[in-house]
Amino acid sequence: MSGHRLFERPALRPQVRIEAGDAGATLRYLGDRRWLELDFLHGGDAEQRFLKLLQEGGRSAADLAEVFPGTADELDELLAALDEQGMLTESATASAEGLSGVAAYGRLKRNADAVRARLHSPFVQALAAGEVTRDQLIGYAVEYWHITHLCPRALAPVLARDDISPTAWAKTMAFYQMERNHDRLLEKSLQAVGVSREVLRRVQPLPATMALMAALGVYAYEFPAALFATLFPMEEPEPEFLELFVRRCEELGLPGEFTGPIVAHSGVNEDEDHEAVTLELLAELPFVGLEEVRECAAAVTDILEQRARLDGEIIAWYGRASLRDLTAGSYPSAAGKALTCVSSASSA
Amino acid sequence: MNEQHGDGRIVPERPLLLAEHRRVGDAIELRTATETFDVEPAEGLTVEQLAAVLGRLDGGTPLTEIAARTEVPEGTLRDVLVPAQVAGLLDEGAPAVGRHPLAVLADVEHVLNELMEELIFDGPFWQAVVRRPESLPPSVFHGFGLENWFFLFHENEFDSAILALPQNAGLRTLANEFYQEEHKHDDIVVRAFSCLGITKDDLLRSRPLPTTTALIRMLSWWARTDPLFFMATIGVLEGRLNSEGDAENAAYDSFLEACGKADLDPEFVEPLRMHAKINAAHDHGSVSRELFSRLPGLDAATEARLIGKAHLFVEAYAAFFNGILDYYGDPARPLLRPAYEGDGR
Repeated sequence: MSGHRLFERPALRPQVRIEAGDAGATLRYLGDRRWLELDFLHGGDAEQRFLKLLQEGGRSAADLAEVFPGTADELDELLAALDEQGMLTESATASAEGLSGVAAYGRLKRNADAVRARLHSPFVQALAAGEVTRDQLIGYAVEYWHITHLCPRALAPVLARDDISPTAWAKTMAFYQMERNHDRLLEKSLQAVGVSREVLRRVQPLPATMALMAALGVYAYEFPAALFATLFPMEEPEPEFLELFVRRCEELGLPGEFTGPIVAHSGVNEDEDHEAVTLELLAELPFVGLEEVRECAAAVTDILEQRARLDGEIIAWYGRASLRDLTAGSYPSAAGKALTCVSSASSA
Repeated sequence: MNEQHGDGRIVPERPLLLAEHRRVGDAIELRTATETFDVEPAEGLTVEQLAAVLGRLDGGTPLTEIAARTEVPEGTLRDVLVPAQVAGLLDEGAPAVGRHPLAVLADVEHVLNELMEELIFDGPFWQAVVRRPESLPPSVFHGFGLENWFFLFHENEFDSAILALPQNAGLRTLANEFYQEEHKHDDIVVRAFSCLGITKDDLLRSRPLPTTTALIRMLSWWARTDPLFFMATIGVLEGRLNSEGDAENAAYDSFLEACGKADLDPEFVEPLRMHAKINAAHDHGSVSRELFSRLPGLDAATEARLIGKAHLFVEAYAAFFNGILDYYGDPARPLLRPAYEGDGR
């Protein structure tokens, strides 16, 4: 066993009792269940001084070697023997650097702002230019439906986690409950343009939509902090986009029953303050290691880039084909080719 | 100001404002490299007070002091800062406090050490194996081997759940190495049963004791829902099972010694010894320490959670051993319990 070498500053546990005599000492732990006898081969004073320092802690094995009456190998053997009896602990207090969840949020938010500043959305550009077609607007709503429909499934795994604080769990549960029926709003929209729920259940999402929801789902399974971190880029209100969207829908004669629920859903997110959910959840983490914060930042950036790709995919696919009911009929290869060749320039 | 943020814990304790500010009429202008915000004082605050607050957001002054110096109640102050925090305009000047991960693990180990003695080594199974192995029917020893085989056979169920660990590359590497080293250990132990006329196929058609499945499923659940706690258990599961032996011997040395005293067939004992030696050569008893040494600091709530669950884990582990004596202590019982009962249809 070499586990004792992993201690930065090995020390005797406070529960270890030292019984020193003239010729040696007995160290006892857990009553009389674990014990170790040491012979004093160097007169006793040096050994007792060493044991006192080991009891105090705060010293590395190298520091201890300087006061140990014996060779470095002998010290290593002694520490191994003590550890074998469970008598050693770690007395170092300093740990790797980290941030509070509150501070981590600030970093992630500023990172997201910087990423957003270099991204552009082909969909928003086409909306502003008045070039978006009816099918592309409906396609946008279909993808939005996929997101709201998959959302509970993506979130649910985090509710099984038992390593987030009770408050974080309660907030996540509340968020899950709020998101549960949001797909119904989008179904109302799509019903108004002849797309039924039955059809929606058959259609496949675009790859970027699936990638977004898969990311959230996987984080929910195995990386709760990244799930918390990636909620705000998914939930931030986009009033300027919404205005362009509604105007284009009106230009193309799409009914108010189509745009109404989409606007309402955006309003729900704003009213329920979904944007701040990331901050509230991360604030529940008193200490997050720097590597973990960095991985969360990468996750946030990826979500933003996937969203930009999704906007490109909506233009590419729904500009050439309609609903993605891929279980029947022939596959529109031209649309598929355009879709899979969407430039990542918008996310570069 | 949103009332949902009333607890105010979402703002830094020593806020640092990442924007320049200047008074413009009855408002304050906040300017970053890319954005400008116009901020009006919240109800009950003067623009002078708001300016005074902003002027003290230097990353060194605690909120309590800012509140005292500006005569803005702390609750109001926190509420005032929330929009700036949401917008990413604040940084935290106070250091985050995390305890050394090995110090936390050492405290968990103390609980494990204590309960291992009281519940496991003082329990009926280990007392019988260590104190009176000659009096036990061979079926108890065979049962120990069989239930250990079930445990090893299902080990991928829990070990695999920590292979991804996206937040820590060092931890991920170690977990994968451990997984590889453990792979097929059940095939080593299965050889022990050939002298009993039990084949791998027989084992696949049988099922473990409920005390064994309880341990397996709990570990699998923890590996998925609290991987840190699961990692804290590996050192115990892979370590030595002997409170009195010397450090030179491998894991299970008490058991192997008892097998000698009870005159068990070496063909049964040797594969178990081989498995123990392989684990010892890989120093698997130190795996929890190695994993924890790669972690950043841990907070107090995490430590409390690990300590609490450590008790539950040892209870399940003790029941695993005692369940062996309880069932296999009666030599009239079949060594293998079939997956199907009745006619199997």
